[in-house]
Amino acid sequence: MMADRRRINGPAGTAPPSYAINTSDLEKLRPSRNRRPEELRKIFLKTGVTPPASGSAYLELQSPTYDLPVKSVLPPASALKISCAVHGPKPLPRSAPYNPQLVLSTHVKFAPFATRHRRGYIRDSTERDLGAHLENALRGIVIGKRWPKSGVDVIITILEGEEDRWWGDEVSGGTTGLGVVGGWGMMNVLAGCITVASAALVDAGIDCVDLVCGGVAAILPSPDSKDNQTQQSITVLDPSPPEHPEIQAACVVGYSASRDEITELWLKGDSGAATEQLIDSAVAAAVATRAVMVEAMSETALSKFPEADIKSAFPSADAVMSG
Amino acid sequence: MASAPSFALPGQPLGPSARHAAGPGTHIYNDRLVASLLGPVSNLTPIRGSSGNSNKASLQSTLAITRPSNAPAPLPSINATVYARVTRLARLQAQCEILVTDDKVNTPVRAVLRAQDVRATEKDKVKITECFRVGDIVRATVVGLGDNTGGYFLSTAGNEFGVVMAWSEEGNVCVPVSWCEVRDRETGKKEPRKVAKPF
Repeated sequence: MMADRRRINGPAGTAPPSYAINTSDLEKLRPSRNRRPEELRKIFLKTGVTPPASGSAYLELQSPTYDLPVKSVLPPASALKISCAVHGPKPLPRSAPYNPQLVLSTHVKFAPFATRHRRGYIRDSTERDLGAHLENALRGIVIGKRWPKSGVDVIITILEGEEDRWWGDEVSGGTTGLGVVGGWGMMNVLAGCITVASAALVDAGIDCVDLVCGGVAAILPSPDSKDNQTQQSITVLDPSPPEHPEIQAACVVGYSASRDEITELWLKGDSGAATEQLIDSAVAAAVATRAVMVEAMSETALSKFPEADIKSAFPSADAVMSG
Repeated sequence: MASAPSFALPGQPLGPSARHAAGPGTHIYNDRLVASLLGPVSNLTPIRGSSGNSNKASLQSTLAITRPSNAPAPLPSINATVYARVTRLARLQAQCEILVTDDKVNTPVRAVLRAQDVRATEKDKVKITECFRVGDIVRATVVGLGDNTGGYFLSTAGNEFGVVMAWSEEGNVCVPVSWCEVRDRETGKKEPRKVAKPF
């Protein structure tokens, strides 16, 4: 790999600290899902976190607490943390061709420290891929005609990414049934990106036909199907890959609830005949995320319009203000 | 009749499009007026020109979503009054950058003031160098969104449009003495300009 010549590199020949792990204890550190199949991790969403940007938002998934028999300094699973800044609408650069619509450009970048394996400073192919998926999801809701000859940049920084599998499986050399399909963590990252970018667009005051929320669902082989060799499987919402040694298929949607439209669909793995049900589950996850988003919007509304009566848009606002 | 909500978030229906016309921050979807911004709903009544228009007579109001007061300045729209700085003079046009739109400062936007748009009369006798100088601040209207190359098209046709702040060749502040002349406050030398009528 070519050395980064634009930044100060660390001394050559360094290695991250390695922890002495008793491999017999390793399996005891494996986190397992203690939520119900249809239950999402708790979501924190807030807009207006980056003052210089015209709109911004921050999303964080609460990392679940696991009751593990062995304590370790390493966290059992990572929690998603995404920051999004929207710059614009601003005039297009001189070199850009005439465009009667808003030119949407999305940049998704993992912070170097976002994953257990350190990331580079230059966007790699998975980050560009995420950016293309996100652009698809947002293009469906932005009303581009309102902003001719202008562009808007959606910049996403992932401060902590979702893992593709449990770290212990990587240490022990892969005992999982993941097979050739990997990268499950990207699905959750994309869903988070869609949600946080939509909130930031609203914060920036860019015309949108609706809010769009990301949702993920996955098909897992049922825990008891191993014994009797049947093809039983269960569908879970918001799967955290470290919690599941095996994932058959996963689906992420960008869903606009008030229009009942899917703006982005990404399906991975072998879902077989259950594809439609898997997509429906992902939509259900997106609908659940929307509740959090509307709540975050009510806080945005209160900070932007302190005098306004926001009850008609947020029926639950009374409870928020009094509680 | 159910009244429109007082506050809306994107995607929230505001009422049937047969009753309400779409103002800024709203759009029409499936015969319904839907909000496309987060903000309070304001009622812009009466609708301009609706009295003579029979098929719009059933419209009761135009609904719009108000942007927050600290929102960034919007991009220049057609017929908007803007303030621009002259950056370059050519034989047939003056390059400008729009600094202020709707009384809000925004990031400079490129614009072109063509010779035929400088004044409303005797358009073919306009000489750009006798109307502007690089650095002048001009009050103008936007007449076009422009093409690939230049930028927004501006016009100073009209008494209230033209140079509002000028500096002489020596760099001193000038004051207007007529619609086509300014005078250096230090040296008293006169220079030609297309001057805006002071308020």
